[in-house]
Amino acid sequence: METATHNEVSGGKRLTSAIAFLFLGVAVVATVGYTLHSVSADSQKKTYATVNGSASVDGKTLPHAFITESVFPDDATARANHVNRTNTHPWPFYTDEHLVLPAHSLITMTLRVYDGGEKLNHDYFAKVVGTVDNMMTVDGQQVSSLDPTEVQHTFTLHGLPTSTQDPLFVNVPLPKVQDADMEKNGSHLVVFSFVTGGAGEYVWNCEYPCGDGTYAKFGAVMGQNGYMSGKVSVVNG
Amino acid sequence: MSTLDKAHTSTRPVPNPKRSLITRLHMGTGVVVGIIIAAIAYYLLKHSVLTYTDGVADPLEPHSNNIVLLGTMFAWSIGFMAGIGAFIGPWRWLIGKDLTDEEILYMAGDGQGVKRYFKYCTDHKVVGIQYLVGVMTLLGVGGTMAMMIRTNLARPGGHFVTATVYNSLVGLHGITMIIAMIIVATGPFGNYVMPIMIGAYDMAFPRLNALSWWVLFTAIPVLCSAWFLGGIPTGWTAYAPLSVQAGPGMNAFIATIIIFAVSTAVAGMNITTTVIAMRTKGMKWNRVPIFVVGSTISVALAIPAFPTFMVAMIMTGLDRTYNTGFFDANMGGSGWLYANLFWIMGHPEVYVILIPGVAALMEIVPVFVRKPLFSYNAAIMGFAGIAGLSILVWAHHMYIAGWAPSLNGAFMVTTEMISIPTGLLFLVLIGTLWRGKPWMKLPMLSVFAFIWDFLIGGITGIYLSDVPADGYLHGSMFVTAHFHFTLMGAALTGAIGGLAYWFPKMTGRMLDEKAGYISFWFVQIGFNVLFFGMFMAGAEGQPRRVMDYAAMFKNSNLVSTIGAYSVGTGMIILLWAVIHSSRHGKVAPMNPWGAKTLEWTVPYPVPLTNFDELPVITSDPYGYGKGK
Repeated sequence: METATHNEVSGGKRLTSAIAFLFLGVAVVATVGYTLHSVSADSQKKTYATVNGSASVDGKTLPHAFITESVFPDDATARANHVNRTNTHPWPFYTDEHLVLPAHSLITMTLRVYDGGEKLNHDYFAKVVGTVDNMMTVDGQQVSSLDPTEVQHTFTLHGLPTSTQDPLFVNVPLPKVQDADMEKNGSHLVVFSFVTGGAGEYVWNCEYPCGDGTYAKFGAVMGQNGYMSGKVSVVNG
Repeated sequence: MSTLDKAHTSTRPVPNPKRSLITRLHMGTGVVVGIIIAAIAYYLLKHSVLTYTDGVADPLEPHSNNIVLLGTMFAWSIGFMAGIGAFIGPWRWLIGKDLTDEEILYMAGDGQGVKRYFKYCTDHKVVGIQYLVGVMTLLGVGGTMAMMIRTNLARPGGHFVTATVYNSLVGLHGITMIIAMIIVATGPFGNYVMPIMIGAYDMAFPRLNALSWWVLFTAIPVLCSAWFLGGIPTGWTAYAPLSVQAGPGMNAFIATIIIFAVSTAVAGMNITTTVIAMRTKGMKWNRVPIFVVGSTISVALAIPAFPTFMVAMIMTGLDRTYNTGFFDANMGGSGWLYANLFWIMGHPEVYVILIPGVAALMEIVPVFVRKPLFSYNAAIMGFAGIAGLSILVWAHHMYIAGWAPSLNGAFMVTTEMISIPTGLLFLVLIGTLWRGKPWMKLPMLSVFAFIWDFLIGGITGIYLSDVPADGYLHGSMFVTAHFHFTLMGAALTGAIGGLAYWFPKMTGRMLDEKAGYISFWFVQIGFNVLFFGMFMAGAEGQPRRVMDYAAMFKNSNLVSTIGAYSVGTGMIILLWAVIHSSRHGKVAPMNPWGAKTLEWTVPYPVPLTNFDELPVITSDPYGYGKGK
């Protein structure tokens, strides 16, 4: 068997090239990882709840934070109500995608909702769940559920399957604006409160499939973040 | 006699078909024509299928968008094939002006050096190297995605990437690796070495051979486009109706599978025909090298199996484009129909992957222990038994789905029966090693690694084939660890052994032993650490495909991630060894291992038609210790 050729490189060069190649390979993998991490990192504008005083819940005094957002059927309705947001698609949307809430606090959320609606797929989501006393107010009236045929969207907040953070589940059905009222820029005002636990990452989404007419309405708007779904970060301090 | 044989035996010595279009076409023209045809298709479909309101496409018409995207992807594939010259031969035949001998020799890459690797080259050795590079690329891409997955799972709550990206990583890692593993042995070695092993001038259908590679090549950018179309949320199984409802990235998956199925069907027919019809004189069926037998059984199994996946993808595509409702229960369809079609392909596919890897190792062992293969007939019975039974076991993937529970027992029995022919393969390998003194070179390491890895993969498979045990283990990380032990631990290990063994014949140089050893131990130790951790997590109840998990699984997941980094390091070292050795490795003699099969009787570079005169076979290829 032949043992060497004019092409053979010295042991030192070979070791150097092997180590350099190893670093190059690691660098390629790391670059791909960094890029994926970066492009999938949260680029959404964050909306912070504002703490204003304290409140007593079940005998405990907690910081009281407030947050407000709206739900529009399209850009035009938003502009008519002085909210400037240009979306890629003419779909209904919540105005704020990434909510940041203080930990161990009472959160009062105010939603001004402008969209119409139909019957919910699942009646469960017509109930108010996870709020203080499982109640909310609709245009000043206290209610614990809605007629499942009169819902426009739901604000449903829940966690990812991890045991490293406190559980948090809130479901609030949003009443639909009647067709005749929509033409007059009608809306409903929904207010509810819930208590946060420790810090953690959660998601919110609409549980009323309000996508296009196909895929059982789970297509289009239901398939993209930023319209009917987003994140909730519960943070300390 | 193939067309290349005819050309070779003609009187024209140097191919120089200057005025032929063939000489001007290559991968670059393929890409350009492919892009142009795809752009035209996109424009025409967009303006004929989509509906517009005030100049804006109706966003509520995803079916129409799917038509546009699928049409564009297939147009790219057809356009590329036209641009690289795949249709010149058939077209010339159609118009009655068949290719000249010079043109046939030119297409075989005669005298074109490195350029032929970028052309529609019909030389089986060129196609073998193209497959080898393609496989290494796919393994690199799929492996990088695996590292991302393990990085995300290193600790609970570790959101290294978002859920959407994670889902796509899992699905694309799966399908990339499945494609890589299907071609990992039959692609490079089945094309480069196998025709020489049976004493043939070339493959039976040289142009189809080139077609199988380049069609597969066109699927790679299509699959990559899934990233830019929102990813795939379904995992590689693409279960309907989830895949029917999924976003536009799913179209890339569907197009990839359909294109890949065409490639494998063409390759399978070519390899089968070559082995049946082109064995040299004296090579009776009991003298055919075991790698050839294994590869043939593997592709013969793929020929009926893969079209069911293709059909399932066509039906998914139709559901997505024309709302045909094949898999929509509301329209009289059934999700079980998809599951059945998928797994009728899915389980034979495991053995399509496995058998060539094992066969490569069976080719290696007799050479390095200098003993005949122990019970050649048992090896063939093992392969044939596995292939036969593998088409009767698909529903063990559906025990828990609720489809035909009364058949669970029957599918459990057929699945467990596969242990018998699989045991024959172990018997053959261990019988050949028995009382031998192995020459512990690089290829032999893979043999021992295979015996360990596949034993674990096989035994854990018996647990999963058992209906009650599967009730607990299904859908868990235990399943993921099991099939990695069979696919990676057995098939990839076998293919790496084959690479070390045939590297001298394919490159003319020896694979760097030292780097190979280092790589081997990094990969094997890391692999076992990685998947033992996963067995632990799965046995404790961690579901698979999740991006986050309960804190109780954190230790086993951390162990798995450490193992994954070790595997990644080892694979990078192996890649370096392959690249470095192919350029600077020790020049290999014609038969460095002293083997008796025909590929070692030809020099490097292997002549265009392999043999000046076809050899005549008078004995079996494993006659070590018989004085011949």
